[in-house]
Amino acid sequence: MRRSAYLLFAATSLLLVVRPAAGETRPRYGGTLRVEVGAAPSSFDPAQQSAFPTSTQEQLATLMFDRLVEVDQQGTPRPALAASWQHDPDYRRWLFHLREGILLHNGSPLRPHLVVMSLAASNPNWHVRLQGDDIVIESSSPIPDALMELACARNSIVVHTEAGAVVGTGPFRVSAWESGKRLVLTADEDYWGGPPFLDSIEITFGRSQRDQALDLQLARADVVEVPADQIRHVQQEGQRVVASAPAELIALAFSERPSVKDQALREAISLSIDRAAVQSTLLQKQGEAAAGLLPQWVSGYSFLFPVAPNLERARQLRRDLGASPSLTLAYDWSDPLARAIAERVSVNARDASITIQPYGENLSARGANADMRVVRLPLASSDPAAALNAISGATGRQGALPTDSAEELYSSERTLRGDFRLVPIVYVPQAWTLAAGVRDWTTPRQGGWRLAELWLEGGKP
Amino acid sequence: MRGECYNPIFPRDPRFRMSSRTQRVFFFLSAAILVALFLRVPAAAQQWDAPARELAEKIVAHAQSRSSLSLTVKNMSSLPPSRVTEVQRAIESELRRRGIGLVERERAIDQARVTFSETASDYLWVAEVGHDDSWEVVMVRVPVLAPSERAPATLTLRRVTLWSQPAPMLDVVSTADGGLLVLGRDSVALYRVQDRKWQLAGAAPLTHQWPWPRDLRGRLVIETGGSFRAYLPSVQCAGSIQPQLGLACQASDDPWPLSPDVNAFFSGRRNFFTGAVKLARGSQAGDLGAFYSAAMFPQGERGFWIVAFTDGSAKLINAQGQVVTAFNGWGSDVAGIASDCGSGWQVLTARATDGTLPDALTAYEIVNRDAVEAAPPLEFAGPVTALWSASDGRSATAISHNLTTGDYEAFSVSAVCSH
Repeated sequence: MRRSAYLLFAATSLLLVVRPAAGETRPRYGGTLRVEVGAAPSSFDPAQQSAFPTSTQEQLATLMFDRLVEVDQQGTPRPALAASWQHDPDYRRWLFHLREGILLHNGSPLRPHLVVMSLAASNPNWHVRLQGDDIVIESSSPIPDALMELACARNSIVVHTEAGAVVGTGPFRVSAWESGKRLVLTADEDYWGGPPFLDSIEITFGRSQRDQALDLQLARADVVEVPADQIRHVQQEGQRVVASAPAELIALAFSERPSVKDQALREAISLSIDRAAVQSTLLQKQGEAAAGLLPQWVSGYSFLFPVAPNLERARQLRRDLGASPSLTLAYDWSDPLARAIAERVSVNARDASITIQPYGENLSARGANADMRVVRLPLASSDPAAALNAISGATGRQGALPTDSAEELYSSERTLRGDFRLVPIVYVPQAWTLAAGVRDWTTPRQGGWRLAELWLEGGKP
Repeated sequence: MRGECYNPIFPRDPRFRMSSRTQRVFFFLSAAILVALFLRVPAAAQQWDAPARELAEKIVAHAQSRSSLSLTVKNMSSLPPSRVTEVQRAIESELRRRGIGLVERERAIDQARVTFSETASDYLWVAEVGHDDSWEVVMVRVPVLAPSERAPATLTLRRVTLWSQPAPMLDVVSTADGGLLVLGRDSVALYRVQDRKWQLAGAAPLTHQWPWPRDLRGRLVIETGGSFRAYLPSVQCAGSIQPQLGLACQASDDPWPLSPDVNAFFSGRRNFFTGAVKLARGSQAGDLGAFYSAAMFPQGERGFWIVAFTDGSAKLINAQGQVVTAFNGWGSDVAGIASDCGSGWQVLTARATDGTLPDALTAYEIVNRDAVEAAPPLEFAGPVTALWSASDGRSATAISHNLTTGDYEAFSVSAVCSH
């Protein structure tokens, strides 16, 4: 044994004789991940998000900001900024003890009152206050799913400094930002969860699908988006595609304009849509036709909402309405799938004698001035109650929905979709194509990025 | 059920004497009946009793007619077809027990359309009860079936589960007095058997000034007299388990033990050894270049080292200090174990996959400068996140992150000879 030990030292000068063979399991540090996306957000500040935050905005938030709680791959809440928590027996009062020694990206400590301000801003229904150094969340109605809600991107802890900067405590800090064009993030070496393996991430916005595919092919990008309708095609090309479960709802969101104030008109449009055809034809059988607000794998009862069109009923409702103006339907000009769906909705509505004029707009830069628009809603959580409450909040409703039992959840969803302000069409997976050197990519079932865990094969140790 | 004992098949009363042929026929018939009974009423069937009762109660509460209800069942979940039949029978039984007359759909006044569905965390049994345009929906959440245990394979690598927990583990060692020390990210925990179950006997926090590296590594080394040491990046802790668990941690860049004779320096902010090594006794030192793990391979007076470097290579270094060869497709964790099989020494290595895939440990022997697979791979339900040779040298501790359950599982892996 002892002799062998000495031999080890004799070996140390002779180690470069044999060419290294590939093979590694442990993550390697270093490298820059280059990501391209189609969206062109004008801000990375979660507080500046529109009512319907995009998947890209939520994904960015998880890189730069932390939440009190995070959810692991099994859907179990785990401590994040909160080291521990407790609640009263009826779930109306929660107390969170913050992890100590957390620093904001500007170097200042994360004070508990900053957490209170951030959570209070994103949760007007909750009473958030300090108790010593702990955070107390109180609600007039029980919030048994508070942990799952706090793990949602919208509950990122965001600090707005007096100088107007937006800072967080996430694994990456902003080092360059060009609105709608480019974001460069640098790993936070002092991150409480351990520094990320990557040195940095460069995200280029507003890239067309064609440009993204080309850049991946020319090794100018490591991660690019794959639209749901292209997943099968890209897989057949032998590329490395990763996809979530159906986790993004494509829906019609109606405005408050007088032209669409009549619920019967909105219901008629909903009844006219052939969702199965959208899923089978436009999406090449990816995702799932959706008449419910939650996907089947989350709620378990989505099949109770019929997806088949009911033209007879739609025409009856339309006849009862009398004269109806031509309606406008906006879609994001950079989203070909949204355009195809908008056109299909228009064709379907025509069968019910409803005229809808689709048109493209830069929805990620400004809101639409239309009667309705095609929106993409990322699934906020794999927990059905938290996900439904997020949709409820996005549609402007106040107060938490009753979601204690499966029947209550179903009833709440029926109520929520009952006014046809938000008409589900299809749930699609989030999908990406990865370059060969991208390792340890994990796709949460509900979508999103876990880039702090990711590493690059060419990275330096 | 599996542990039940049965009465002797053959009566001992002499009045029941049978010929040997009759006895054999009777034996096989009896055995067949017992097997059939065993299969017909599996233990899992009892799992459905309570939710079937709950769903039946809810159906009855919404059924207008108790005399003619039709029940149809559709499975949209991952429930196996055999289980679907069991559940359907259980629901029918519960409905009949409540006085419901089950009839064909054509003769039914009310219908109960039951769908076995599933969410991300549970089964969801949904019943639509009613007729024509009048329907009520009732639901019952049911815990999913535990993932079936993988059938044990005939392997020369044997594993014994040491510990399992939801939180990450870095190392697990058995103490001389029968306890179990578990090194986690935040603490060292001591477990002891009390009332035939492992019970937490104490836990001591790991204090550290800097955030841990993301791919945190650490190891426990048992010392004499009930003491132990915990090695972590830039931190070392001295601990004792008697009379109770105690732990004192301090910042330290001292090297970690690679073998009883060799220590190696570990990077303070990363997941690898820096390459600097030194003898445990004496001042001799050298630099290997950054590596993840190393295993010693003694062959009589000659010896080899197998080192898994951070550039992805695994190299065999011979007695003359030369790099003999490099091995393809090895992971970054290697550990040596001694055994009574083959050459008496095997090196275990994980696969060259990443942390998103199930892993396997393969045992190799070095034959004519080459690594020869000595045993079929030992499969794990997730990536192997840590692999350390045990202090006795005859086993290794492997920790795997089970991708199905999310738990971290620690195993003692050793080589057994199949004759």
